[in-house]
Amino acid sequence: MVLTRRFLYVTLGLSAVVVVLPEWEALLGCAVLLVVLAALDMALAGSPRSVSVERLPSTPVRLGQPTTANSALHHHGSRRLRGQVKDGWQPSAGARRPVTVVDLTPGRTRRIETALRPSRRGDLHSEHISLRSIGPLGLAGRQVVHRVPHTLRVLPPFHSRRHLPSKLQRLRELDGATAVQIRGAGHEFDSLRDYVRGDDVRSIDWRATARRQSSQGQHLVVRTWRPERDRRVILALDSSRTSAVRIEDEPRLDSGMEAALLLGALASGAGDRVDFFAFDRGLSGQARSGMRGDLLHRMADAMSAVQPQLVEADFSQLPAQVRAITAQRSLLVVLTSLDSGSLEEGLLPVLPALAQRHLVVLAAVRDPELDRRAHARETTSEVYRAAAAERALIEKEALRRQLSSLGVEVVEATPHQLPPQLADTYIRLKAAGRL
Amino acid sequence: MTTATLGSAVRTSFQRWQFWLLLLVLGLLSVLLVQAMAEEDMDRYGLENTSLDGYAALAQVLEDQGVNLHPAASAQTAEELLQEHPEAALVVLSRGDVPNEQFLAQLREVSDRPVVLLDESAQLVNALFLESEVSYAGAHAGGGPVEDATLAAGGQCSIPGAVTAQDLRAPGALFYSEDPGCFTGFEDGSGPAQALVETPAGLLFGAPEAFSNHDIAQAGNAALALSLFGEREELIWYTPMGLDAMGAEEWASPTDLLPGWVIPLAWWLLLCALVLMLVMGRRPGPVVGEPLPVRVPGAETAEGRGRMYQSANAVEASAQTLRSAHLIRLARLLRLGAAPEESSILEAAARQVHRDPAEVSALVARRPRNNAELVGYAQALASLEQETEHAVLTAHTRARAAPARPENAEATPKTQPDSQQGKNSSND
Repeated sequence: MVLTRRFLYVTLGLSAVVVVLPEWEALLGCAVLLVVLAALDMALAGSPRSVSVERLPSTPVRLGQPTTANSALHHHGSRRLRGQVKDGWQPSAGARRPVTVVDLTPGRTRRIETALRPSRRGDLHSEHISLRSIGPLGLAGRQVVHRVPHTLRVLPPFHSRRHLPSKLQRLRELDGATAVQIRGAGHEFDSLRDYVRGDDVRSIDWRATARRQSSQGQHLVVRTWRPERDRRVILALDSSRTSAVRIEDEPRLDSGMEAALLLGALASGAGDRVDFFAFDRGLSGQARSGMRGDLLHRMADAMSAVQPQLVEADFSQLPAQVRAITAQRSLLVVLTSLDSGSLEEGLLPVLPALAQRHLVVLAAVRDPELDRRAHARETTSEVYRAAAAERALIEKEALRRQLSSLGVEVVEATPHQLPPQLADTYIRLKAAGRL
Repeated sequence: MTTATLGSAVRTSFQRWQFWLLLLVLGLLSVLLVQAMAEEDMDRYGLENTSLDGYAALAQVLEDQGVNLHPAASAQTAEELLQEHPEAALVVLSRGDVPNEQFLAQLREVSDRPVVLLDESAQLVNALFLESEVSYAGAHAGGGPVEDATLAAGGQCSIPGAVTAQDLRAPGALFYSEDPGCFTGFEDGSGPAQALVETPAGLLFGAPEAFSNHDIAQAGNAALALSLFGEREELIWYTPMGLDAMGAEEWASPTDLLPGWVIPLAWWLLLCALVLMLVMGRRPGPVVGEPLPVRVPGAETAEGRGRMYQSANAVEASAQTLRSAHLIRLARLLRLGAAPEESSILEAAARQVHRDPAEVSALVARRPRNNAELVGYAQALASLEQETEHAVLTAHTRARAAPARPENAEATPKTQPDSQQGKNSSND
């Protein structure tokens, strides 16, 4: 049962009758009149149960971008139905006007569009649509909740996309097409071409030069190199308890996703094969290089459902996961936290074996709050806090050194700096031919 | 339906009606509370009042002795009780209010039932005895030294209860009377002023304070009380209220002064309010919840450790940690390679900032003993590092600004991240 504002105004208006006829009978009469009117209106309203709801599939959207969720209402009843429809999206879906006014004619279908601006990553749900049918007098009506679920997938925002052009440009500079030459083991031979001023004299290929001797004169020939291609890059994202920690109001997990997306886009642009998986106690999401479709899209799709779990990460399964992807030597990037407790017990035991087979990079978010605290020295409590922060930093430093001694590259940066720095590390390793 | 689904259905419906159930329980609780509050007797000289100025002790003893107490709060109840128990004794306790005229007239008539009038002011006396057979004489303080406060029954006293009690100790009122009374406070031209006097209407006692929980154990108070009230098995205890004095014809309902439509309109507006609640309270659909994310603030372990240091006053440990941290950073800043000696770090730093190495070593080697010294030490370390950093930076820029060095390998290490240098720093 639903009563409308108009019903309230009618009730208020009837108080004039009560004033003019100050009898209890008149009062009772007015009340009975109201009840009869409401009952009549409710009976005449089109039945909201005779409407069936169909949810139209939605396309995934990046976090922060607007979208619309569509549903179709099929009216099977015999009477016209006027009223309102409310789509029950959860608050973080950001439905701006969840209530739509509808006028359904029997046998017709009406599309309902709800404008959304999601403020949270993951699968957002609307469990129901509620339909309110108001009678012809506009005094009362009926309301029914149709439990037809709808889901909208919200992908990570990928803010670090803005770094992609400059990093791709640097990769292209490594390529033999340009004159920049950085020689190193593992580089692949690209082509021979004429020497131009500015080329490194060390890259002159004397044998080819000798072969090119002609009557016109000397033609120096240089070898060009291009960065190795078709290497394997494996991105392992830790979604365990340490990833729930908020640094600069962003969970570690989200910063790790940004870094993984940038590196994935960069590496696939450079012709490498990229595999991604997220893990805590088991596998919580993955995107394989062998599958069809755009890698970046598949990665974002796999990430969207990953949420921080309050469990300890099981690093012991990491070698098996990597082996399942490839037996080849590859670049393994572990996106986790530089947290002595979880790393010493979980990752350090399996790391030597991994580092022997693969090139391991450990990327972690650095907490700028610790640096700020370490530098605040005004009051007694600030000094004690500074001492505690310094101690945490020393521990991190020791851990870093321990990892480096195992041959692991460590990238530690603030949330906004982590994606570009990880990309820089990748480019540096590629330039050095260490992949 | 299995038990599991039944259980969940019950739980769901409970969640749905949770609010109303809670409202019902709260309503019941408040009703009970109001009842409990109402039943507690807080009146002065109230028969169930257990505080110092109550009569609960007296009432309890009287009931133990087989006296049935019939409290009456209004003249009407008192009348009914009087008719019901023709043999019963009557007590009229005035706390500043007097019974209505009808009751007073009935009191003035001499009856064979024992009547005790209790009043510590002149009100009841003035209302009852217009012919001034008995009149108010003044107040008896009752405080001070024992001999002043205690009133003896006196030789002229002929009231048996007072003779038995012998003396009285309580503040109250004194009365002049033509008949001899007991407990003389003072004597003047009008005769003796007494606390207990015999009047045509019954015994008039001026010190009801004597029977309160506080004073009943003093002097002969208890004996007097028992003999005054314990005469008959039934005892009607009448306490006049202010409203009793008013005649029924004096009553005027405020509703009589209002126009006739006000009350129906008020009821109608109440109905409107109900409709308003129904209209506004109807949601357009079920409430939608948001599964809340896990929220862990960063650096909370460091924060906790800092507080622990402070609560334990760990000056020594904090100073040691700060010293190690600064030495590590200085070593990295000065590029002293892997695991340098502490002395060599300090020497290099002193050279960089153009200070005496001994002074710098003394600064770092200081052992703070209290919080104030720790703050000073921490600030000194920070400023040393800052100076060194500044000196290194200026030296670096000067070297770069220096001319005539063709492009060399200097550009390459610049692009390298700091981590490379970090590896070379010292151990603590």
